[in-house]
Amino acid sequence: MRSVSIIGVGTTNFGILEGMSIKEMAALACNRAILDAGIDRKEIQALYLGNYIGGILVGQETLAPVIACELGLKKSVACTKVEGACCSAGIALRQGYMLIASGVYDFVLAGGVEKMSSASTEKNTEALAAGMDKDTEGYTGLTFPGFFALVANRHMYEYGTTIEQIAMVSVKNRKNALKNPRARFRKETSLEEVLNSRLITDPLKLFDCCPISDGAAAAVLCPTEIARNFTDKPIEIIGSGHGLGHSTSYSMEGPSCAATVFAAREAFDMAGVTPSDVDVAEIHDCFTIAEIVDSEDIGFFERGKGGRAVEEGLTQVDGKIPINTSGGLLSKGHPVGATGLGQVYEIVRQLRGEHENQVKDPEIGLAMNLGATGLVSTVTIMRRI
Amino acid sequence: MSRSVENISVEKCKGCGKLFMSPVYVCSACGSEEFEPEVIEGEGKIYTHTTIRIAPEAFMDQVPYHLAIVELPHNLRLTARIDLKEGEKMEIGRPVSCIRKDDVGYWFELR
Repeated sequence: MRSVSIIGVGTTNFGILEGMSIKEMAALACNRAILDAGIDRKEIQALYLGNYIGGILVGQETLAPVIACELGLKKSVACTKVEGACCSAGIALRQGYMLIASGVYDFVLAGGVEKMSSASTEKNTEALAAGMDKDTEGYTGLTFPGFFALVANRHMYEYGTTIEQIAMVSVKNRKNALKNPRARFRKETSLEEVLNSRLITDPLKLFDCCPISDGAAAAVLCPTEIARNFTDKPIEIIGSGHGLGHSTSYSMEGPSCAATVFAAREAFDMAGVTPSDVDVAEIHDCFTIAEIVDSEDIGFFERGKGGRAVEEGLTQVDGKIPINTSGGLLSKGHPVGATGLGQVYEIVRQLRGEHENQVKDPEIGLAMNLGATGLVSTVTIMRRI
Repeated sequence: MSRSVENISVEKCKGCGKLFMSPVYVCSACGSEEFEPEVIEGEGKIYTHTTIRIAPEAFMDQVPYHLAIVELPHNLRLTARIDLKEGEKMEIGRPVSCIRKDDVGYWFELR
């Protein structure tokens, strides 16, 4: 296996991008990644583009080749749309990583995009629910917020996690977003405001939930041995994991997402590092409780201790393991097909020492992207070289 | 007061005897594609629960509605609706009984 590095990243802002089509957002993020890499776009051999509900919400399919045409990529480029619910972009990145690691390609563009704000909340909830197992559970009216509410109640029951600890995730991430121009919400919130916000699916309230957003993000990958021809600050992918969980919420093994446990184990084994070696992480906080569960599934904290870690400030920008210094999905927004690469964008900026919320001199960063009812997860470990 | 408890339809693998919630197409334990119908008693307890207040379009006319993962006999579980009466509250560990099935699946009430 060859070592692979990220040589360029690009993104749009996340939020309500009125008047921007799915094509425009994807093309801009991808183009910015190509320009950031300083690579001749005709060198790119493959495009993997993550997207989840573009077909349902905006009626655009065959997205990857459409974007490749707009970008002016060569006619021999292999274009593939990748779907794995909210984990689509994490998987797109991993496809590129594997094909360069294996020697098939030298230059791959990985992107992700979603356009959500043009549809109503109910239409979005319905489209997102397409990621449920229709045969066994979808017909019950379970939603993704509902799934994480089931997890939250069980986590509180098994470990004594408090509703205040869960709410503190929102307070922390909203504070982190103050400096991030890419975030949808750039206004602080308080514990009282989170706890008094409208109930969405008990016990989760409005401020426990990430906002519907538009956005796109992308990265250019190449073999590490030639990465310095393009950038002074290549970011090496030292670990990549992709795990499988359960297609029904009723199969959950405790308040945990098995897919993340396996993806993290795979990525850490490959990287030869441990969770305590990670200096900065972007993890999938689609809901406040999800960040707590992710932090345990990855191994940053012992099972059941994730809530207390938030309360003790261990996950703040100056904490033991800074989590979601970008403001996370809770503040940036969650354009579902783009999120995984949005996280990678933030980590690359941190490892290059260019982030608005810069952690002191980080060497190793981690991005963790989750899809559906904890059904699919990717973990990417990156290192400054 | 005695109430009638609805049985729950499950499927038993003809290859290895493992029980599955219905529908199942492939036995994840032995690979068999052959199953026979079985019923289990519709008595269980709440593993975890929530009340949905923002729903997909198709369910909007039903909000708020109560959902729980119910632990059933034979280590089976199910995502089901809970028919809560005035003043009742869902709690983890609370015994529940199956009362009916319709197009949103099985309904349970607190016992």
